[in-house]
Amino acid sequence: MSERNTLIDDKSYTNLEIGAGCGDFGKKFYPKCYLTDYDANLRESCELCHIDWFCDAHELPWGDNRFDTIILCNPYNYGFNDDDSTDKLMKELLRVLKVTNSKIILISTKNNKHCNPQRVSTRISAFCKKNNISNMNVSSEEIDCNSLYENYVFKEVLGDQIFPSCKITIDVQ
Amino acid sequence: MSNSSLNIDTLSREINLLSLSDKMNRGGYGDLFYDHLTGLTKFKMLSSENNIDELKLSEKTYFGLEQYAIEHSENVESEKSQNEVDWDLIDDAKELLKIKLANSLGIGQNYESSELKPIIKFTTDNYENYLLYKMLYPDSISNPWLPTHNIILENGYLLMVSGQKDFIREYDKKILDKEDENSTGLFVLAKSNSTRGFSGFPIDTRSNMQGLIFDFLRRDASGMRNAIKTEKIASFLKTQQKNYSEQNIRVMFLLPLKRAGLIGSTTSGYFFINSPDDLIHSYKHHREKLRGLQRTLDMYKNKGKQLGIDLETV
Ligand SMILES: C[S@@+](CC[C@H](N)C(=O)[O-])C[C@H]1O[C@@H](n2cnc3c(N)ncnc32)[C@H](O)[C@@H]1O
Repeated sequence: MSERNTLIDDKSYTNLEIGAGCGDFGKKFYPKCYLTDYDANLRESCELCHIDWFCDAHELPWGDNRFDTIILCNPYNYGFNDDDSTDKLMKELLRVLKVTNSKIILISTKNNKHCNPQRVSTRISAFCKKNNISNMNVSSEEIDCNSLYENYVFKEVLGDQIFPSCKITIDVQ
Repeated sequence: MSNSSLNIDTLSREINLLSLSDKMNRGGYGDLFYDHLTGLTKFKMLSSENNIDELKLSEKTYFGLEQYAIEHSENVESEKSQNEVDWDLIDDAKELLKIKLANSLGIGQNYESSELKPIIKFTTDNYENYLLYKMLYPDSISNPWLPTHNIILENGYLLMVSGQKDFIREYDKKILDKEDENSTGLFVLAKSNSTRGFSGFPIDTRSNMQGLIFDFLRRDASGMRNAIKTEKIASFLKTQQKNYSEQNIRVMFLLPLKRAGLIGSTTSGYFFINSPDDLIHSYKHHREKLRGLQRTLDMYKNKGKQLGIDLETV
């Protein structure tokens, strides 16, 4: 792997957040979490930028079999919109996720076409079928983000607040 | 059309009727694309955290506006939709459109490896947004993807928005030559049936300017009694180092804002609609204009009769 890989790789950090934007969700609710996003402009546009590493969700700089949990909050313009995008994302997430006993957590609004719970479930089924994967399980629940993640402000791409209503968990057993 | 008429039969019928245009000119998609952009920007303009004039249009912000319209639809619609989205129906319709477009372009089986895949994908994703919004608000006339739905299904063009010059260059480098100081760095790429390939244009900053003018009217011309003339808007823009002719201000900024129902106008100028009275006044003013037009049409029809032409059927 490239030198980027050696830059931040404290093995005690077992959680990873993708597309974190200006937020610090992973650091607040899943401590020992690296935050990433692909948009380097966030350095200037966020009041306080928490990103540890700027990288594309489909090209993560870490080695294989590395993280316990990967978190995506409100993914937009990447994610589970169709089988192609699911394939591309899941292959990379599964590469850096520990092979067993790991999970992907998705926090989303229900009309987000990149991360609607029913969509995620349909796409993951198709992905597992295509790739002969049998140890993955998807579950979702409705959430009240105000009480579950008190005082945390989720934001859409343009920076205004949004209120996610679903939490989806993809368990890798 | 109510939500119940959104089913696979009606959607496959509209998709089957699609026939790609033989024309390459901008007429079939240019103005409609800008209507779409105004329609998207409207959600942000009406937000209490409106900072549209600071919003620099880029690929990221274009998709941001798309997300914004879905997530903050209540800025434009009277209430938040309680409707459930039929994701399977959207998937099926997208797939049908993809096949129809690929077959029309003669790449049926080779879709996956075709250079046309990105523009087909953008087109079907755009159709998906139209359907998603329509499922949420079946009767809305503010669906920001209505104009692009017309571009695709009625006028027969594929379309794509991209900020990647290398990508655009591969399809038609002449589009890049059209860039000027009013360009945003984003481009529209369109494809018809024509063997001449692609056409398109650099997207200009008009949606930012519309936002700027909308804010100006909200501040300085709130209510019909404070209506202001185009001349004053031109002077305001000059103070912002932006020089536009009054004619361009009317055509590029004020008319689209009016068509989007964002501002009112009367003989004394343009204004921010601040009260029911403003709305009624503007509505009556336009209704009168429409009646005037109707009278002209009736006169022509009459003349047509004398000449033995039935203008209803032309
Ligand atoms: C809607 S914002 C959500 C921000 C944050 N997670 C929240 O919920 O408040 C989506 C974020 O995903 C990032 N993003 C989009 N595409 C990405 C990609 N391919 N790889 C990594 N990040 C991406 C954007 O830069 C943006 O910051």
